[in-house]
Amino acid sequence: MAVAEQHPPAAPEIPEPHQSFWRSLLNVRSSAGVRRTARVPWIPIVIISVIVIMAVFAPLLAPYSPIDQTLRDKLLPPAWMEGGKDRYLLGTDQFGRDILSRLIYGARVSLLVALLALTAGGGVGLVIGVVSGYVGGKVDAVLMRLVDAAFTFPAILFALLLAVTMGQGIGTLVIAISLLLWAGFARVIRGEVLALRQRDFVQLARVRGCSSLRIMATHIVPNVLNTFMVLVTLNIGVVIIAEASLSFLGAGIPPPTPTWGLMISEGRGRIAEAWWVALIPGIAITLLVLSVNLFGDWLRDRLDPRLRQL
Amino acid sequence: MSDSAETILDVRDLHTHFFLRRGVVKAVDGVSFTLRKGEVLGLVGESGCGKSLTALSVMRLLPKGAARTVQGEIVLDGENILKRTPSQMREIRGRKISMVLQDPQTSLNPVFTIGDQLREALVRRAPAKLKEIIKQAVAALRRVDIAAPEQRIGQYPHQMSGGMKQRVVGAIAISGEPEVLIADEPTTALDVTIQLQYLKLLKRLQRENGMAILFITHDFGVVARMCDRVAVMYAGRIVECGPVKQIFEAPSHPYTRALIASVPKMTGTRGRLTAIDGQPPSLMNLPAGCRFASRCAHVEPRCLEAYPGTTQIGADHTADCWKIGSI
Amino acid sequence: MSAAAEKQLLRVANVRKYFAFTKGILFSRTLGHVKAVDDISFEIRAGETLGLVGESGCGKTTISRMILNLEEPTEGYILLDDEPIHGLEGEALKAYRTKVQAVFQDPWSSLNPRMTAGRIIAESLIVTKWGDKDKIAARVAELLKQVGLRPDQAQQYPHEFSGGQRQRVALAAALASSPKLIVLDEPVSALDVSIRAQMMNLLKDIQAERNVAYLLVAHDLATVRHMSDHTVVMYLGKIVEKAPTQALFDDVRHPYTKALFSAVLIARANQEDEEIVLQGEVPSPLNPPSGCRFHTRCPYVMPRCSQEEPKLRDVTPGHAVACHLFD
Repeated sequence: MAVAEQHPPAAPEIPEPHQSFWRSLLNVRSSAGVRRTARVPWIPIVIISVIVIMAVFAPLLAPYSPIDQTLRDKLLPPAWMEGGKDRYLLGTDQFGRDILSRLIYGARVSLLVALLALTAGGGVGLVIGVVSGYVGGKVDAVLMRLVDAAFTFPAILFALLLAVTMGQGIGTLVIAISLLLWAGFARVIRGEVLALRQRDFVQLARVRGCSSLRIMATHIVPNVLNTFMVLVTLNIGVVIIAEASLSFLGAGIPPPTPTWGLMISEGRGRIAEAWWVALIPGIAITLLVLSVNLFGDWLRDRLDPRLRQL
Repeated sequence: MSDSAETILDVRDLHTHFFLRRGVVKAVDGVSFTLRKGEVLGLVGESGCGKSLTALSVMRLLPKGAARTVQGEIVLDGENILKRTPSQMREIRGRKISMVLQDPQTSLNPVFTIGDQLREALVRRAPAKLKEIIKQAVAALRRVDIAAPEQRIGQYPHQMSGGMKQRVVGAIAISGEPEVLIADEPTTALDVTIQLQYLKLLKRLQRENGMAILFITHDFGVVARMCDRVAVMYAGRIVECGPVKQIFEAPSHPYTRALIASVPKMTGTRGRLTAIDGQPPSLMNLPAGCRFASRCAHVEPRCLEAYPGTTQIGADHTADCWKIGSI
Repeated sequence: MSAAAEKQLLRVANVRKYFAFTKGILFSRTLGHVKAVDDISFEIRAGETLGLVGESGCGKTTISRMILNLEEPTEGYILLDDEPIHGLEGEALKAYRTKVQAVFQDPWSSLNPRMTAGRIIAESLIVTKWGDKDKIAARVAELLKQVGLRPDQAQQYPHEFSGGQRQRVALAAALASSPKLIVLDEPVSALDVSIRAQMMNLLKDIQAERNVAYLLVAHDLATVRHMSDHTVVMYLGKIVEKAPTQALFDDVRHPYTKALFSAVLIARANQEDEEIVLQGEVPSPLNPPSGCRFHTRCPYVMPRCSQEEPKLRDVTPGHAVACHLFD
């Protein structure tokens, strides 16, 4: 008669942190007892939504084609400035292409790359993290040394190499960025799985006759999904910046397809006389990354207080 | 305990509530008891009955922002400590009143040696030269039966067993010679033979120091071994209070009776246990009448209408029940 | 109880489990062995309860993990219905899993928070492809009723249940495959005092109905006395005493068992009659004492105890003790 009451005597009936992912997001009122998490970040949510809508409906929203050149209208400043034309709200670049249209289409590429790279890199990281954490032993030791190696890996150099051998394009970009991402996912998820593996329900699943594969799929993965979603949001910013950097360096999407990184790259030579060509996509990147990070921070606090130390 | 013994701690009509978005959790809702000099008073109840929160209220160590004492008086040695400022409270804690918690693992800081942690407490009590303090630390460890204390003061908590750590926690708690020690389930995390060692130690220290102990537990066995008097808590209130012998031999409140009856015994028949059906009420939505009414075998209409007053049963024995004397 | 007439369900024969204590992972070196379980033998008969008592580190958890086939013995064997249970693979292992199930101590950790109660209970039925959806749903509803819950509670998630209810869900899940043996690892010690009796009664009712055998791992002697037909007492990986429960409780022989009995704090006042308070802590199983492992703490220690290991032998028919006092 001694081991009872290991649970803290704090507020009774504090709901479990383990509600379903979407339920705990939507069910704003029913969550964690005394909440000290920040309020819902509405401004970032609006900014993210606008950019996503821009990307999805680009052909409907863009006033011009993003690649058609009108050389006679080249390097026009934004409409509100002296010399600007009402037709080109955000001005034009050195080939007379409409910057607003390029920005709208560019959002498509940036978000598509983010989606694909996070699916590929995050997915690989999730699988490796779960296997490494659950199987343990030598498998874990080998996989984690691989993760250590991945952190020291010069991703940018590798991307340049890939661009030379495979040619430029979305495929190259996604592979290069996935290689940059997976290790971080794997490491955090493995830690989570190590803790989960100690929980009795995982041991009991074995007693009930579940195979290791089944335990990982039905008992482990659903319990690390919160963490996974938080990692995804926090990494969107990393991906967008990586895409911009690689495109800027010439290892990304080849011109004339617009991407935000490429737009900065093309405008950098004329930053003194036509600052808007480089600065406007720069501002777009900053706004998106900032919004995504603010949203990710909030999501993290909301879903998993343990991740706060990261 | 004789009636004439002086009161050291007097808690009157204490209400400590949690304030959540969803509502108010009345975790401690009208608790009154007195602790006399040199006695051990047991505070018994199930998890969520408010016994630990009562202790934290007395220490004034409630979780910030969540729980608040909204009503009542806590009179320690003649002064209402609810009126003291936080800095005055820091002076009171450790010297007049001290606390031992359930888990020795979390009570000690893993990055400091045992000696460092004892020194901190000793220096606060009476600043002295390092050599002198080390001597005191060794003496303090010896007092709690730690073998080879000279070596132990250089060790870190992880180098000690659970029972030893809990004794170190005890040594720190009593280093300021407090008049009141609150022990919140101090043996729950220990093995049974180690638990017995620790209880014997506490009892010896209490006799040596003449301090009063408020002993919080869910285990009637521990109460029988340790306490002079016992207060039984249910859903935020004390439902019965009296000398240990009387509570065990003639419990008056139906809850106390049912609880004692439901514990498996070491002697007698091994038949079916008399279980208490149902669950305690939600502290957010307490019933108007007696809180035990929904689980009580003797319930009648008035039990559901109003909370019963406190009935005096013996000289030192009270219970909150409408039907005292008729069941 | 005529031993010969009753069928032996599970036999644990001379089982040892040594855990290698290693350094490094990829190119590891063995530094020593923890003798968690050292030459243990006992039997469980169909439909009866065997209580396994001891403090932390005595090996009772390792034994139950070996019986659950989560761990292989280093030496010796375990037989279920005269078939060895280790080395099973594929379908044979799956078949074994349906026969031996478990309920663990902590109902907050033993249910997957992402699954409904119904899904948790159905797990072993789904894994063994026991039947179609409707058949499984009907079986789950029946199991819920059997453990005292409502069939519609199959839709609820674990956090919507109280501790006692969760433990009932855990029991229903263990019962789903109609096992012959359930390992109960401290099934009530994490529950509140008033809920424990409910759970113990339920376990007894289910045993009577289904003739299922229990291996009850516990540290609380009163619980073991109440629940089990036979009792095995372990200390540091060894059995020190083994007897039918009634015989053991009527006539305690081994000094360690006596000390455990002293440590049981009975809910009765004024009991300080002849008790053994053990000094010191349980030694490390990495380097257990020579001879009798209990000699370092035994109040009756003799010179030969540190040299010669006592054999477990019958002092009266069926009551075995490992102690030189009874040679």
